[in-house]
Amino acid sequence: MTETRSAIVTWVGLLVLLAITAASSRFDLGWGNVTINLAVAVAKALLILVVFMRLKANAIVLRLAAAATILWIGIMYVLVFADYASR
Amino acid sequence: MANATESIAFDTAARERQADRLGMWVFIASEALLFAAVILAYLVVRAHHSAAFTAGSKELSFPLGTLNTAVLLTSSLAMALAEIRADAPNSFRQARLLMLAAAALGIVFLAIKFTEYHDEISRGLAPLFGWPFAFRGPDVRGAALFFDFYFAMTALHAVHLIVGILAIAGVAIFWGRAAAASRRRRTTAVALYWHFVDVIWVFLYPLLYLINR
Repeated sequence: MTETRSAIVTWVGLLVLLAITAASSRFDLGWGNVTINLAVAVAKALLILVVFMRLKANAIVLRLAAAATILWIGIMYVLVFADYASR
Repeated sequence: MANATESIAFDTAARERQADRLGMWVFIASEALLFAAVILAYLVVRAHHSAAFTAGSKELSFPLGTLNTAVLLTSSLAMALAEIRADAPNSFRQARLLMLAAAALGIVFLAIKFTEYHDEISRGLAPLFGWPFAFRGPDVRGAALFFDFYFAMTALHAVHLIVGILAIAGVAIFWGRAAAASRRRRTTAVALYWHFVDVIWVFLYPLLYLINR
């Protein structure tokens, strides 16, 4: 039952985050909009990864696989943006 | 029998399930790289056509995009509950029904998505297949690029969702003939994929629908 409970609480949290990002986009906050959208997207993704995809409940090797994915994508993004930012 | 493994390579069933999960994670990593590359290309082009991307984003349906995000998040909840039920004793019936509910919500998502496509195409906002592009603004070429990315990214995501729905259908059809251990393994594999497709949408939604600047 506790697993069911945490899944439902996670879902409520995801919908609250969706409401925050959707409502904030109705106001012109300049770079604040981009920051809120990015922060909310990362928070939602983490909730899904940790609870729904059970990274919390499983062996560390799965967390390493997920972290490695983010690391490689991070390298690609950092190199590309460093190139554009330094032209 | 609880400790029986399908392959002789594993000592215990728990160990084998962990390997199953790792296999799915490696597959998901390759899929994540595919989407990350497309999103990176989108970000670079957006940096060059900032105003046109904002104008293009405002042509999309904010209510339908937001509703679809909620639909997909709810389908992930159904899938998470299905996996919990599949792991519990004597609740396979519920697990199967919850999985089918997740697939049904996936179909609702696609129906809403295709309604949006139909609306955008009829308004001349689809610069595809040589169709006339009716967008009016200072940077028509930039706006065309925005809609190119919009259709490419959402269609790539929709293809993944369709594959997910077919995978769920496959698991549901062979449910009766599968042993308990197989049902659990298949549910876990389908659930991981389904949640991943949800994560992709979590990033596409603000990138495409919520541009203010």
